[in-house]
Amino acid sequence: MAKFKPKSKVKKKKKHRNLVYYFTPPLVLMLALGICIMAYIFTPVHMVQPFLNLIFLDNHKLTDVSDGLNIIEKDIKTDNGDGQTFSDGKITYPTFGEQYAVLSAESIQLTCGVFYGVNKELLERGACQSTQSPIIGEAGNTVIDAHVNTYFANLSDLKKDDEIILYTDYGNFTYKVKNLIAFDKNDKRYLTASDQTLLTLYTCQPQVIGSPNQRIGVQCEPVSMKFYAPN
Amino acid sequence: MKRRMLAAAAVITFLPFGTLHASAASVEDVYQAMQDVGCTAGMITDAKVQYENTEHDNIGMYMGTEYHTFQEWVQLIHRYGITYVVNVIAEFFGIDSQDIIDYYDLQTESDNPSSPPANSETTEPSVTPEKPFDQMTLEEMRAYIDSLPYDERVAFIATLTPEQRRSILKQLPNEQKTEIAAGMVDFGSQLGLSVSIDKINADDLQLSIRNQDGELIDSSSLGFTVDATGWDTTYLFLGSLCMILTACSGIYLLGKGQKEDTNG
Repeated sequence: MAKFKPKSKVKKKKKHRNLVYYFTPPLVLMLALGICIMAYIFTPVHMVQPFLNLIFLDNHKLTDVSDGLNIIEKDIKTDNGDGQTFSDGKITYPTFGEQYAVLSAESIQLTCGVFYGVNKELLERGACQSTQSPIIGEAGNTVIDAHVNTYFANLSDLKKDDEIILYTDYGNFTYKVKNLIAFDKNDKRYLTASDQTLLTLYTCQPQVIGSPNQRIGVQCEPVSMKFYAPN
Repeated sequence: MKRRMLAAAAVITFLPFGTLHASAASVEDVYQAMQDVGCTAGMITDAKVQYENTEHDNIGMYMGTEYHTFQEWVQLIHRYGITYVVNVIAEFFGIDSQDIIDYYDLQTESDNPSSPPANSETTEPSVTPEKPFDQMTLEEMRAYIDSLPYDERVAFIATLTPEQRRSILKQLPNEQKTEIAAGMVDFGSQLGLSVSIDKINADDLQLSIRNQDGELIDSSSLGFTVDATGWDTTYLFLGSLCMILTACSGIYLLGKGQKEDTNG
């Protein structure tokens, strides 16, 4: 004898099938989107950027440039060259928004452009040097920072004595890490002027929830200053 | 009005030296003067760029479209410094601006005539502060300055280091900040620069400075700032977490319902 199914149960089953039919795609989409956003949060964005550019056919725009900001991106040679170098030499002063150096830290596979001046548009494009600090090659404390979500994502992996090289059009400058530093956003002791020639690199302490208040970084001392032209 | 008169007095104070020592100053003195009066580093770098890229001689240079001797530039810059920065600070701390002018006058007669004294090497205060002056709050600064005899107060204010001066400027009430910013706008125009104020609040004064071509040459606040080098991902994180949890729960419930249906 055939098993009898009550009408209400059949109706319920049909209703449930409809639910599955209508709700599965948005739920799967929501899951995928959630995973993508998580990946975006935890992956250094500059590593994702080329893929985003590809997906959006190179139309993935950066923040609109401030009025009058002249961003100059340059191709700076990152080899030591065979030419004669000088321990003291002529500096070519950059303009605000000009990429005038390339920062390289081999121990953390970091290579990025260094812009003169700091604002959000420049921070999206590379590391930025505070205009309050001396130009690379000048005496004093040169301060460079970048986003922890992008170029300085691995800055905390630097160790004492790691080598950092700054290449510019007028010379290349090698430093070695002297101190690992951590400070509060209101604490400026590592950014102030110094009689010693120093390079200070810093970024935010990685933090998923809340606005980052702590900064981490390194203070480096010069090992060699090689200018391409004498003073 | 009083300030304008003082400015005129300052010009008169420095003018004779400018005439007598027309070629005594160098381009380095111009940069130093800019630093002394609290010009932003971007302004100083722009002056260096202009010096290198435009025609100049041994006694003078162009800034914007104006040519002046180095000595004249130094005077112009110090006039601004005295009119808009030192006087505002002096008045805020209850010191008569004329005493500052007199102090400079005395120093320039006995010391290097080309510039006001930049640092307090000759005027060590009798009271030692508990912490560096540039790290004090405005109340602590006021208490410290009030603890000095009047003559030392005058000397101290007249010989603030650029960082001490910036630290005061940053913390001054908005009224004084506006006054200084207006001075910066006026002064910038004399150097061929257009200065605009981006933000004035209790903790900061942010300026954007553009050259005569409209190009941004500096965007900075007074003194050193710790930049925001991280994004606040709280909402993104919580949002994505909610999405994942909702999606997983929904899929689980749908799957459970499907299984119950299949089983009968």
